[in-house]
Amino acid sequence: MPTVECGFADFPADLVRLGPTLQVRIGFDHSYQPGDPVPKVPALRHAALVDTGAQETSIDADLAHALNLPVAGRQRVAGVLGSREVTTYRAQLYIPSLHWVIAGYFAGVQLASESMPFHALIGRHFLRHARLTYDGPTGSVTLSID
Amino acid sequence: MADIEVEIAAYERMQDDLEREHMGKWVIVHDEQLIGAYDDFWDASAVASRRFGRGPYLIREVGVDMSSSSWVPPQFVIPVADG
Repeated sequence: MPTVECGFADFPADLVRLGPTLQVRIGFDHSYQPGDPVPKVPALRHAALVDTGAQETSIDADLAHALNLPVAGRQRVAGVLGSREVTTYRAQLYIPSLHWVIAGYFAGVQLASESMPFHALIGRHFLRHARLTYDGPTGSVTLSID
Repeated sequence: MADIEVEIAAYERMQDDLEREHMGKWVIVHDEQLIGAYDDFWDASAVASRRFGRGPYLIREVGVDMSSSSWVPPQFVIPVADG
């Protein structure tokens, strides 16, 4: 059962400011099928927020466009600012520290900014496979997956 | 109009027939034509990839309204095979 640190052990203020974070590789390997080895996606890693407030995993819209991810359609997403329509992309997110892939359709949402330096939000659909331990006083967050 | 928009428009033109004949199946639309209907997303993906590479092509689950606020994008959580 791989376990990874996705918090900021001994730096609880950083955990408050940034939240638990995983490094992911994002791209689209058109030939990828379950059971394959790692999908052929770019090696560059991006910060992804582990977001228990999100049902599904989503990708930064600007990054999706820059990666030329294939468009799958349009969908409505709901957030604190209300409901809006966004582009849906096909992609794979590979999490090297856990050796797992999230594959399928992803909403492209505006994420990356100075205050929110993430290119993906990892939601509860992935987290239902995981155990997440959040230790606020130490800043440590561990995620393990069966 | 972007290539995928052409395929989406074609899917919408075919929608009534698709829902009558292939409800719940995953279909591939390419060059405004229905390529096939499959029981499983990954079966459709494998065929589309083999025939059309990166695309553009559309893979849709018939009968599911993507524009609905209750629609949830299909996402699959997959352990990597050691290869």
